Order: sequence, then C-alpha cells, then structure tokens
Amino acid sequence: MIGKGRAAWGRYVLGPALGVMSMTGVALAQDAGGDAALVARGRYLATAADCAACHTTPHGGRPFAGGYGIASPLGSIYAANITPSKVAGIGAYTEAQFGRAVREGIRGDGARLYPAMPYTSYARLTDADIHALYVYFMQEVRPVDERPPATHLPFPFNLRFSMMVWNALYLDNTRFAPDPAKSAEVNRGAYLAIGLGHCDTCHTPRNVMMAEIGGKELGGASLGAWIAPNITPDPVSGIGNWSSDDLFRYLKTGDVPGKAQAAGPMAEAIEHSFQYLTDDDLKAIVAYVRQVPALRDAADSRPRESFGMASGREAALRGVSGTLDNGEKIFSGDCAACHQPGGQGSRDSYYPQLFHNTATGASTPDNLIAAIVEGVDRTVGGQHVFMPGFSHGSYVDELSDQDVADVGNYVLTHFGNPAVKISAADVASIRHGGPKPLLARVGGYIVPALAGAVVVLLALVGLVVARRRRG
Amino acid sequence: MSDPLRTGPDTVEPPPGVSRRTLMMATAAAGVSTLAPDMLAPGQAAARVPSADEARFLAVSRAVTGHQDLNPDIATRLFAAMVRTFPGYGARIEALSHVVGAGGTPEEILARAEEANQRQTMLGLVAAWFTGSVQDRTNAPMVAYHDALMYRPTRDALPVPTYCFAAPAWWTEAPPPLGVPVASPVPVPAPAPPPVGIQSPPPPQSKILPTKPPAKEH
Amino acid sequence: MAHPSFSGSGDVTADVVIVGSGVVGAVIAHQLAAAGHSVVMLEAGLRLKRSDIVENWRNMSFHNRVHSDFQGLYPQAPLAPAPLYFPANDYVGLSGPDGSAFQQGYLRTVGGTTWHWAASCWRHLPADFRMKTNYGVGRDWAISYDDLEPYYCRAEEAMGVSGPHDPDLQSPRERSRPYPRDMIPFGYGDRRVAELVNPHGFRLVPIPQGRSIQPFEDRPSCCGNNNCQPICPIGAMYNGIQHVVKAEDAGAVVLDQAVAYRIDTDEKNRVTAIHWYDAERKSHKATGRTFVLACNGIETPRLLLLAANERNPTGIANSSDQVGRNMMDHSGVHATFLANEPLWFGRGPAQSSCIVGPRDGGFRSSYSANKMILNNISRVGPATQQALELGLVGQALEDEIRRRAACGVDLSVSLEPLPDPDNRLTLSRTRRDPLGLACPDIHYDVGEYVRKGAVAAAEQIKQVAGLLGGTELRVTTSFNANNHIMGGAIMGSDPKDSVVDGDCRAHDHANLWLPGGGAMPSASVVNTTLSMVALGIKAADSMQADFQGGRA
Repeated sequence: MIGKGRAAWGRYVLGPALGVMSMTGVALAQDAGGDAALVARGRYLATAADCAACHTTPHGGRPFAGGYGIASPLGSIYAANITPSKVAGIGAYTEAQFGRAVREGIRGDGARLYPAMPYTSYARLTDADIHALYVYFMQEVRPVDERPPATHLPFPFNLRFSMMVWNALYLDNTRFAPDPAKSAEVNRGAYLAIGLGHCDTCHTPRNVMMAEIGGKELGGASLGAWIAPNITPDPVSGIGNWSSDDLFRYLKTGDVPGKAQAAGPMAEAIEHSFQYLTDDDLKAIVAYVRQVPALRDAADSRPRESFGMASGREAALRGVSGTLDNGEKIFSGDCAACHQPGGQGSRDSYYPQLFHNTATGASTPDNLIAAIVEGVDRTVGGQHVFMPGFSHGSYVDELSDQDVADVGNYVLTHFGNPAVKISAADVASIRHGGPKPLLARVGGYIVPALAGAVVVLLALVGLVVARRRRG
Repeated sequence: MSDPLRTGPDTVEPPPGVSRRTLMMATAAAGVSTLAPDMLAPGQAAARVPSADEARFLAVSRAVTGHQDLNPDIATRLFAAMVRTFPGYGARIEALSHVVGAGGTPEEILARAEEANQRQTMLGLVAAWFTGSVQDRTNAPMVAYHDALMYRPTRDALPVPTYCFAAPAWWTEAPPPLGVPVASPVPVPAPAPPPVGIQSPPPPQSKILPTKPPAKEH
Repeated sequence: MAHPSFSGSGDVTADVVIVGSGVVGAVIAHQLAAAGHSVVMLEAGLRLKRSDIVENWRNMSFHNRVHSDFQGLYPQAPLAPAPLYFPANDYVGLSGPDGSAFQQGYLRTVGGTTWHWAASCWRHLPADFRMKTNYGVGRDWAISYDDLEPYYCRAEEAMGVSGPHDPDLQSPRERSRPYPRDMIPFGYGDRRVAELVNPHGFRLVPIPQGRSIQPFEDRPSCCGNNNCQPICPIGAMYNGIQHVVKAEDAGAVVLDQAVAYRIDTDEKNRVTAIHWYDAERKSHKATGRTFVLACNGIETPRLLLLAANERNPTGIANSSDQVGRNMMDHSGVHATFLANEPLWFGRGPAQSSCIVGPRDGGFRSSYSANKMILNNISRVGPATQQALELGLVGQALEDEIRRRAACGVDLSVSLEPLPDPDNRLTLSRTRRDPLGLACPDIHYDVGEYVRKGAVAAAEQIKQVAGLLGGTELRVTTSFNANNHIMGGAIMGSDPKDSVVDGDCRAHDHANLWLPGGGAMPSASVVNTTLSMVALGIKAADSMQADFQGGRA
C-alpha cells in the first residue's frame, strides 16, 4: 500500500505553537475570565500544538488515549495516554509534574521520556501556557482508563536513565527571552519559528551527531523521503523571491500557484497546525524567516521556483504510436489528465502547474520522487487536496522504480531543472524512506565499539531523527 | 463531411471582427490550449524548416479556420496524413491557396472557394482541423485530440474529455453564459407545447426521424 | 496468508478456483482470500496499464470516439478475442429479429468490463424480484429483495458508492444502511431538467455511482473529466482491478492469458478441476475445492457448453437445458434533441441523473418499464459533426458548435426484456477462436413486451422533449445494446427450469457457483453491476459457510 504513514515529524515541530498565545496576547488571556476562558485557551494551545497527532491513534482512536506507535529503526515508540485517567493517564499529575514532563521530559514517576516527545522545544513554554494546558487536559479531556502498549526498545536503548546524560548535553531548559534589538513581531516569530522549534527542526541541517549545524540555520535538510528546503532569504537558494504574502499564503494554505505546494510532512504541519494559527502569528513567522542570515548553496544556479515552461509536446506526440519514450508515455497517460498536457495545471490551480514549481526546480529530486510515489494529501480550510500515489495499490497505476525515474526525468527536462537526473536507485531509496542518517544505518553495530552511555545517547538522537524522516 | 476530397486555403489576415465572447474565452482560458508564445518550449517537433508545401498548408489552414495560432507541429503532421490519405492532395492545397490569397473571413473564402470548385476541399480541411482526424471514417488517421479546434468554442464551459477541468465538484457552479443565439441558423420545427402530465395524451411533436447508430452506454 | 500451490509443470491447486477476474470474480476472490483461503483466478485476457488505455483512447480517430468505440482501445490477448466493432470481428455471431441489438461490448482483461463502464450502481426494485407474482410475466427470483438487501449494502460499501441520502431521491427507497457517500452533486443541466420535468411525474433522480467527490480510501476524487467511458484516466471511478489488487494483497494469485476450456467432474458431479490454455497454448489444470465461473453473461454459458463432459453431455450445469437461454440486456433506444436553452451537459461525470418515473407500475403486466438516463457525456463531438454537416466555417461554425454542445440532450432509454428461452446462446458450428474453441452464437428477439414498452417510452420522450422546448428530436428506430448481459445461467428454485439457486450455486454441482448477470432472472431497467456484485458477495458467503461447515 502507498506509504501514508503519518509524519509524526510534523507533530512536535508544532509544539512551539503552545507558546504562541502568551507571546501574542491573543484575546484569550488568562485574566479574560475564569476557567472557561482558561480551558478554551488550553484547548486552542493543544490544537495548535497538535498533541493529538501523536497521542490520538488515527482513524477513530479516542482523544489523547495514546497508543499510536511511532516507527523507529529500533522498534515502535508508543505515545502515552495523556487523558486525565488516574489509572492509565496523567490524572494524578500535579501541575508541576505536568510541566516537567512537557518541558523536561521527566515522567511523573521520574522516568525519562524518549525525545520522540519534543520537550527540548517545549522547554521554552511559559508557565502561563503550561497552566492553561494543564487545566484543559484535566478539566475537559475525557479520561480513558486504557493503557497503551508499553515501549520495548532493545538494549541499550531501553535504558531510559541514559536520557539524563543526553539531556545534560542537549536540553536547554530555559524559557524564551526576547531579543531587545529586534521588533516585537520578529521576536514573536523567533519564538514560534526557532525558539520553539517550529521551523528549524526540519529545515536546519544536522551533523553526523544529529545536532543542528551552527550557522546553517534554516538552510535545508533531508527528512528521508522528503526534503525540507532552504527557507532563508537567499534569492537563489532560499525564499528571497517570495513576497511576504506568498509566504503567508503558503503557511495558511500550503498552496502558492506558480511557486510551491506543500506535500509530505509540510502538508501535515499546515493541515494540523499552521492553518489554525492566527494571521498575526503567521505574519510573525514570515517576518522572522525573512530576516535570518541568507544562505547560498553553490549547487543552486537559479531559484527553484523559476525553472521551466509549458510544454508543446502534445502537438508532436498525438496519434503517433510506439515511438514515445517511456517517460513521455507515462506523463501523457498518467499525469497529463490532471496537470494538463502542457503542464499548466487546471485553470483554478487545484491541480498545480509543474513548471515554476519548487518540486521540479529544486537541485535535488527527492520531493518530486516522493510526490509521485506517495502522492499528496492535504486538507486545508475544508478543501481536500489529494494526489494519488503511484506505488503498489495505487488506484491509478502502479509504477516501477524505472517508470518513476523515467517520468520524473521527463518532468525535470520539460518543466523543471534539467540538470537534475533521477535513477531507479534514487526512486528505490525514496520508496524505502530516503537516505538514512549514519547512526541509523550503522545501528547496533556501533554499540560494542563505543562507550555505552555516549552511544546510547547518539543512537537515541538518531532514532528520533530517523523517525522524523519517515514522514 | 466524410467527403475525402475537401481542402481549403486561407487568408493570413485575422477575421475583421473578433467577438467579445471569443476574446473573453481566450482570456479566461489562456494557457489551456493556446499557450502564449513565450511559454512554449522552442520548436520541438518543428525543429526542421518546413518545406514550401508545408508552409503553404499552414498558411491555407490559418485562413480557412480563421485561427492564426494553429500549431506548426500539428500542421506538418496533418499535411503528411492528408497527403497519405488523399492522392494529389498537395495540388488541391495549392489550388486552394489561390482562393485564399485574396484574404477575408473564412466565410468569404468559402464563397470564393465554391466559385473555384474548391468548396469540398476547404470544408474537408476545416473539418480535419476541428476533429483532429483527416476524415470522419473508422480508424482514419488522426493527429490532434486535446488541440482539435472543436474544443475551443466551449473551453470556458466544458473539459476536453480525459482532462480535469478544475477542483472536484466544479460542475455544480453555474455554467458561463451561452453567448450565441439559442435559435438555430437553419429552420427547425417549433417546440411542442408543454404537456400536462406523464399519463396525459402526448402533445403534437416533431416526427421521429431516423438517425445514426446510437452510442452505447453501460 | 494462504497461497495457491503450483506444480513444476504449471498446474495449480487452491481452495478456490475462479474463472474470470472482473468485478464479480475479484470481489469474491478478495473476500475468500481475506478469510484465509488460497485463491487462484484464471483470466483469459491481458493485464493492462491504465495509462496505455488512456493514450489509446486519445489516439483514436474522431469517428471511433464519437461513435463510442469502447472496445478497440483495449488490447486483446491473441488467444482470447472479445467483440470488436470498428470494424466488426464477428466473434459473437448474432441472429434473430433483433440480433443487432445484442452487439455487446465486454472486455476479457484483468479487471474486466468495469474498466469501461460508467459506474452506475443501481439496485433492482423489490417488485423486480417478483415479476411473475406481481405482474404475471417473466419469472420470480429464488430470493427476495429483502434477502439481497444486505448484500446490496456490502456491494455499495466495497465499491465506494455515492448515492442520495435523501430518501425522496432514492430508487428504491427500501434500504437498511445509507450509501457510503452522499450523491454526486448535480450540475446545472440536471438541476434545470429536474425543475422542468418533475412537476409532470417524471421523477429525475441522481444515479448512484461508484465514484466520489472526496477521496474514498486512496481512490482520488472525481474531477469531472467526463471520460468515465471508456476509461477513467485518474482511477476515480471504481474498477474491478481495484479488487483484483486487494485480492492479490490478501494472497490470491491471478493468472492472465489463461483460457479455461474444460471442467472435470467426479461421480457426485462435484467439480474437481478446470483446465486452461496458457499463452503458449499449453494446457494446465487447476484443482480445488470450490469453483466459480464469473466470466460475464456470454463467456460463462459459453464455457459451460464448451466444457460438456461424459457425465454432463449437454454442458456443465445444464441438466435443465437452460444454460445459454433467456439471454437479456436492457435493449434500448436513444433520443436526441436540442433544448431551447443551454443545459451544458458534459460538465462532471458522464452519468449523473436519470428519469425513473416509468420504472414500475401496473402497466408492467402488459409492457416494459423504462428508465431514461440524461446522458452527461459532452456533446461537443456530435455538435461538431452536425455543425460541419451544415457546411459552416469561421465564427458561424464555432457558434454552432457551442450552441449545439450547450443545448444538446441525449436520453439513453433502457427497456426490460422478459426471459425467453428462445433468446439463446449456442456454440458456433463454423467460427472458432484461435485456440479452436467454438465462438458464441446468439439469437435475439426483444419481444412484444419490449416493443410495446418502446412505444410508451417514445411518447414519454416526446413529452420530455416538449418540456425542454426540444427541436430536432430524433429517436433511434432499432434497439441498441447496453452491455448488461443477463440470463444465460438463470436463477430459480426449481432445478428443472433453472441453472443456479438463490446463492448462484449450480443446481447440478454442489461446489460450483455461477454468480453475476447470467443468474439474474429479471432485467429490471437498471444497470446490472451492483446486483451482480451483491450476488457475488452472497455467493462468497455461501462458499465460506461450506468451508466452515466442512462441506467444501
């Protein structure tokens, strides 16, 4: 079946939204009136943070009852029951315990959480937001007295106490502090985009230790099957040519005709979180992103949304049988119905154009391949945008690795960046989740070779990242 | 229209009056079938220089259809298919080109073509551009589907079948105005008065005429 | 997950052997494989890629397309021909007063004929199951509407049907569960025609359809590209291939280019094996415990007759001599006219609404019911033909195409033949397929019941056309096929005059099922596929019950 694994990745990236309210002073302030307002604010925070993405099992799971298995190379990590059940959930937590779990990764019983729970981001949350969330979970969420499956990772990853060392290295347990040199809007954006890990978690590349590379902030990174591109203000490699309205529209809808459409993890982030943020918060993120240092990738010659033009091939191929190359045949037979023979997309852009499109103009073909293989699925503002994937079980056609490479190369040649080439091996790699980080590839082999505690830590970080990369 | 011996030349001038509807549709549908020249990939199929016969065929085609934006790739391939199907076709196009030379609208050209005994050739050529096939016969060679001219008059309202028009359920929106007279230019029987009900005696009605074999449906 | 087991020579053994991989065979295969049984499917034809079919259609000549050459774009296996009409290949030999009305279009290919259906998913009316009792004509089914109703629900759920949630728009209204999705919303033409004709008793209702305007599972939304027939380019319409893939994922194996031709039976007349030829004309044998022939209403009786053996000298399952008899289809007519206002058919899926007022009534004791589909197939092709015929050029030509495309109406009228034993499929004595197997011959006469029904329908057509200010009304004067093949393995409670029982199990063979259109004892006026699938699921349940009860 087509890979539709939920991008757990998108989830904790969104955690930062938790802090949004206290920063923006949206009219949900605590003093606005009693518990009802507080609960409403907590509900908004939980929705914006998309706690449910991990803590509610898809397709009918009870809200926040946990049990969703987040796949990792080492085994499933099961999300906890965070309903106020006293026997199976967090019903017995004090607010202080709740806060420690969310911001420090320490369970009520003192055990350490795996960083699948994005407490390193949530560490920035204000006390007021923690309070609102606590009140919401305790007062409005219905308790479910069912324990989700326990997480059983193999040794040495089952040693939860090792997270103490990891936390000592990587957990910066300080609340967000505004930079007085920047505007309030930029500070708010920073809080959302970086301080709370809204953007950098995906878009900032990581080194071999799985730590974000200093000086490469928002410079683009591989998430496995999908690429989170460079979103710095560089006009060639980043989003320097996008207007603020473009960026705002992208975050709000995932669709900017003539530039880009959100797919994969970004589609989920927009579907589950960004579309619900206030316009002011989205504008703050845009303002922040537009002022980070621009980064240029030497491999980029032109902005990725600037490549290509409509194709006139339909006029040359119609009625001609048996002489078309495989990629052209597949394009005409499988793609042109929606994207149109010239690649312009439909008149209302519901089916997007293929030229002037970041998926076809990027210096790496990953997102194009992933879109063909996995499809696109994004529900925003009540509209369900759905492109079927072309993997096994496709309702349209099942394409082989070579087929995907052929049609991908056709699309790159006629609509996108013609310097980029796709091989069948590239497609196979994306189909299987994309390139693995070193730590995930070497897996357990590295364990005997290194000092135990360090290895455990590194592997755990790798595990988290690999999990994200599953998208 | 199944007469195999139709061909026609053309005037290179655009028709004097382009209707408001045509303009409106061209604007609304820009990019669906007619690409702005600068959006077209540089001459892919027409990489070679067209022969004199091919160039004449394109010029004649533009005149008899009234469309200046006919695709040169399609023209080249349509000409080849017509020549293969109809012996002596090149000569007929040449004859038609003399009729076209004086310019005018397709209607004016048709009037001259009739005098020059080129009416069937002209109508056959128009039909080929509109249907994308060299003639209306089983398995006749074809060169255009999406780009067949027959889809242009309705492209603001109807998809070229197989190609998605807009977001799912687009069809629930109001269709565009008809923009042309609802009455036929040819005489037809007047509509019957509305009946009273399903079980009542039927009102007078146009007589049932024989027609072509039906389309099948499932 | 259970898999069939293959011998070195290519023979196969499975719990369930299914001949035919169309929607009925595939749904059964999926159910039984999912229940843990090993399943092998023998498909005579090729496995095709959707994109090739789409391109073949776009590459067809205008004439073929405008005259609905829905067969020619599907490549055929060299050893398993199916009907072709452009030009005709005479694979099926037709005779009788209305032989030409039986020019069926069906596919022999993995996934079957639902590759080129239009996805109408109608139920029979309760009255359709009791034609003899209610109206004194035709036959009663061995089961009632109520017996089949739960299976209709399951069929609708399997195929992701969108149908009206509003009971006033349902035909029939009797249902135990809602449609999986609400109706495909009407376009302007449907709304306008309903406004004009419904006050006069015609009852225009939405057609229940195997597609949806939101994704159904991973099936994309219908984008109204108006090309349901002969191929949905984007897989938004239900096709049998979707259940073929599901069955394979559950462990079933599909052998394409496997032409079944012989059936072995034991001393209890249970089926023990089915023999097939592969693409190299080598013969192989499929042994199993349960056997299903789901090859459509022509190929199933043909195979039953071809497979006559010593114990069954007139054909398998044919002790009643009813195999191949009672051939039916919704022999129909088309009416076309121009409304005096633009209706713009051709926006959205190819079928959308239908007049069902004349679907039932006391008149059925003397003449056929009908339904009139308001075809939503783009009229641009016919409009272009007509406008060119008028000798127009330039703006006048384009205006005329626009006018005729906008105002053109095509009513597809389905009638209801009665089961008549003389409407019969036999094996040709002169024509053989490339394997030397006899081709089918069919004698067909629609009968007085339909002829009288057509007269009544013509009057109704005139009224509908009148209500729409119609001009240039034309009604076809000979009947056309609708590819809803029924009757050749007819259902009944009496083994002496019928072939299968209410589970579509052959009276003569306890482990052989013949589900599908062939089993249907009354035609009704509605497309057969949903009833065929419902019968298939009911048959699959009875197969499972046999396995569970140790009878398989």
